[in-house]
Order: sequence, then C-alpha cells, then structure tokens
Amino acid sequence: MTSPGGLAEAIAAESASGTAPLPGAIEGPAAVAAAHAEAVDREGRFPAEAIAALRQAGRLGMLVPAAMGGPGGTLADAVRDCFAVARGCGSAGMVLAMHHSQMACLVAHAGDAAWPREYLARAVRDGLLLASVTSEEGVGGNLRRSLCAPEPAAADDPDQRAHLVKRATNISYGAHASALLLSARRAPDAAEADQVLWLLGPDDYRLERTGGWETMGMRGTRSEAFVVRARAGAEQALSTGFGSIATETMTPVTHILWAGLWIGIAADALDRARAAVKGKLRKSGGSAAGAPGTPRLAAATERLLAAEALLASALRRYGEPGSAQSREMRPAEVNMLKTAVSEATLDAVGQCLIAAGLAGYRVDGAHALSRHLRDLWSAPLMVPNDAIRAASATLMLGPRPQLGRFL
Amino acid sequence: MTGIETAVRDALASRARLSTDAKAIGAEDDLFDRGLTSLMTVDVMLALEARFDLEFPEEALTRNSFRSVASLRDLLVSLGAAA
Ligand SMILES: Cc1cc2nc3c(=O)[nH]c(=O)nc-3n(C[C@H](O)[C@H](O)[C@H](O)COP(=O)(O)OP(=O)(O)OC[C@H]3O[C@@H](n4cnc5c(N)ncnc54)[C@H](O)[C@@H]3O)c2cc1C
Repeated sequence: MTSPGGLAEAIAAESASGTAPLPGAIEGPAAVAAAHAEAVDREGRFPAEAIAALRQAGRLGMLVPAAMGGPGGTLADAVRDCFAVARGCGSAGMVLAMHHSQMACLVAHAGDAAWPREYLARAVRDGLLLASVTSEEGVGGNLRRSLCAPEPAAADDPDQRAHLVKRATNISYGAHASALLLSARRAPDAAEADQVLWLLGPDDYRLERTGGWETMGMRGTRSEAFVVRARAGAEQALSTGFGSIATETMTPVTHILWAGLWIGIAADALDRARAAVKGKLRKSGGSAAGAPGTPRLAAATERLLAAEALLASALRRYGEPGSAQSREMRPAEVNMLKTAVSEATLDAVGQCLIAAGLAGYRVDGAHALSRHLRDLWSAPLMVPNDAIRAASATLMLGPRPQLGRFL
Repeated sequence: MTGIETAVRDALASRARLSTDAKAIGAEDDLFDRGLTSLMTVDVMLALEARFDLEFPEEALTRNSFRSVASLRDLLVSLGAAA
C-alpha cells in the first residue's frame, strides 16, 4: 500500500484550515480495506472490516466540528480519506464517501436544533454510520423530487409522531447503517420539489428489503431496495428545506467526495498497470524509451492529473460545508466536476488495461483490473451523467460557471 | 404591492412550480424552501428580463438574488426596472 501521495499534498496545500490533528491515521484502515477488497467484491458483501477500522481510528466522525463534539476535520481531510480507502477497495471508499456526505449535511444545517446536534455528538462517540435515502420508486435518480410525505398520527394514537413510508430503490449499506437521512415532501399537499430532510435514529425506523444488489461492481456498497417505515417527531425534520441542503451541501459535497474516491480507484489501477509494464520490460531487458505500454500509462496519468486539478479547484471554490462561500458555488460547476471526473477516471483505467495487456485482463494476479473497471462503471450511472448534462445545459443561460474568476 | 413585485409573482407563477401560490407567498419567504430549483431560476430570470427589457448581470446570478420575492424585486429596482 503506497501513500496517497500527490493528491493528498495538493489538497492539503489548498486547504487553509485543517491544522487540528485528527484522531487516528488513515493508513491503517486503508490497508485493511485493501486486504479485504477481493473478498468484498467476490462475495458482494459489506466491507465490514474496513468500516470497523475506520470507526476504531475515529475517522467516521471527522467532519464534525469541535463545537459539536467532533475532531473538526476539513472537507479536504475527508477527500483524502476517501481517496486512500478507495485505492484499496472502491466499495469501502464509496461507503465512506456516502457517510461523510450525509454527515456534512447535518453539520452544515443542524443550526441550533437539539436533535441533530445530539445525534452528531453520539455519532462521533460511537462511530455511527449514516445512510442516504433520496432515491424513490417513481422518481429515478432525481434528488429534487420526492413522492412520499409524512402522515400525521391518528388522534387516538398514544404515539403522536408522524408516519413516514418511503419506497427507496437504493440505500447503500442500508442494512448496516445506524441512522438515515431521508428526503420527503414537506406535507401531503406539497409540490414534489418542496422537500424536507428527516434524521431517523436507530429506534425510529424499520427496513423491509424489497430488492437485492447483484451488480457488476461496487458490490460491497450493498445498495439494496428497501421500504422504510418510520415514526418521527417534528424536531427530526431539519429546519432548512431540502432544496437548499441539496444545492448548497449534499450535491457539491457528494460530488467532491466521489471524485476523490474515483481518482483513488484509478490511482491503484495505474500502479498495477505500471507494475505490469515494468515487469515485462525487465524480462525483455529493453529500454524505458519507447517501451510498449508506456504511452498508455502517460495517457492515463494525463487524464488523472486533469481530474485531480478539477477536484482541487472544486475544493477551493466550495470551501467548507455550511460556509457562506459554499452557498455560492454554481450548480453547473458542481455538475461538471461529476460528469468530467467520472468519465476521466473510467477512461484512465481503460488506458491502464491496454497498457497492462493480458496481465490486467486476467481476473487473478497482482495486475488484475477487472474490479477497478467494474467499480468505476458505477460513476457515470449513479445519478446518470445524461441527466446531469441536461441540467448543466439549461444552466448555461443562467448561473453558468465563471471562467477566470479563480485563476 | 409595487408593480415590480407583481411582475415577480407573475413570473414565479408562470415559470416555477412552487408549493405555495406565488401570488400569496410572503415577500420574504425562502423560495428554495417552496420548491424553487436552480433550473427554474433560469426561466424566471428569462421571463423577468423580457418583461422589463433588461439583462441580469453575471454577478447577480446568485442564489441570494432568487431567494425571495423581495430579493428579486430589490434586484430589479437596482437594475433600473420600471413597472
Ligand atoms: C453504487 C451506487 C450507490 C447508490 N447509493 C444510493 C444511496 O445510498 N441512496 C440513494 O438514495 N440512492 C443511491 N443510489 C441510486 C442513485 O441515487 C440513483 O437513483 C441511481 O443511480 C439512478 O439510476 P437509474 O439508472 O435508475 O436512473 P434514472 O434516473 O431512472 O434514469 C434512467 C435513465 O434515464 C436517463 N435519464 C434520466 N433523466 C434524464 C434526463 N433528465 N435527461 C436525459 N436522460 C435522463 C438516464 O441517463 C438513464 O439512462 C446508488 C447508486 C449506485 C450505482
């Protein structure tokens, strides 16, 4: 396991804050993730060892600020962790990224409300894993539409908390999470885009599994379909509307963390392809100049450097979740980070495969690239790039990204 | 209610799908909490630009500009809109 290297340093340099020491180091959990990656992929099981190691190292609560009882890590710290873990195991990296994106929403929008603040303190103490329930039968991957809405309890019900029922098409690690952030319409008569985010604790909901997760890749995220049945008090609905949470925090933070983990997967693929090319050259005794495969390694690296530059720029433009600066990052820019990095990393691993040749095409051995390619094929699909590009196109006539402003 | 504010409400009613009737919404109410999305703001902007024959400058294309009926009204006034 090599260290995260350049990306980590670049991002650390970008980050103005982040001087407070974080509890454990990421190298240990990242090595655990790498050691179990093959089994997680083959068996399609949750990366329990990696998540336990992250919990033990105190990394799951890292985005919670000191004022809320946490270590006060920066978004760049979280990106670095996602990169390092995904370099060993893409599924574990995705679980970590989804968890951090949900935690960021709570941190940025808890305000003075007691319930989310208490949850955050408990989450830091116990290393609780938070899952996301935005997808729903009938709306596809569109974050900004919900069908479900809270129904008031019957007048004679001793439990006066509202009923929530959501038919979720995917909840990553739903069966392994301690709590959920669930989007719903504000009320039974509200428009589909008038949404509220509910924080549901371990005792507030039951899950009925309605679909499995037999997928090509990202097999360890266990993003199964569930019907969520919950009872929740009014204090469990975040006071900021989901429209603002989605635009200001959930979407940008998710795309920034995803970019980190996708680059992590591709970085490991590049290491493997390079080792395969070097191994062959050593056997033939040839020179590095003009060696077969090296142009492809260069092409892959070029794409990954571009992806890293986009990510570093997005981090600089966005700042920290909840900051005034974060609220003004233009949605089209957030979209373009996602569409560009998802395709650049996938393309880079394709170049790696060509460089490695059969050593990479084999599904066994130290140079195998199958898992990396299969995991990364989720990137353009999870929130479909075509849908995101359609939204970006509309935004070209409105708040488009500002060229030159951050040069 | 000023003519400019009425025009803002008309644009919201015809170009955005909100939970609350745009005619009845509080001037300071957060429109993003009523279902306004970034995509809808583009059409609201186009309608207001056509109505007042002006152009929203790049710096004005922020979420804060579109946050409420009042913020849109103030922006239009600052751009010299005449009802
Ligand atoms: C690894 C992984 C983990 C996930 N984890 C979670 C999770 O934890 N929680 C959660 O809620 N969801 C999760 N999801 C689901 C995700 O949020 C989306 O719901 C899902 O990716 C949408 O998939 P779909 O193909 O059904 O998309 P749909 O939105 O149903 O789209 C279907 C097709 O229509 C096209 N399309 C749709 N809209 C447009 C448009 N406007 N313009 C052009 N084309 C369009 C798309 O390109 C696509 O081909 C996860 C998905 C993956 C892959």
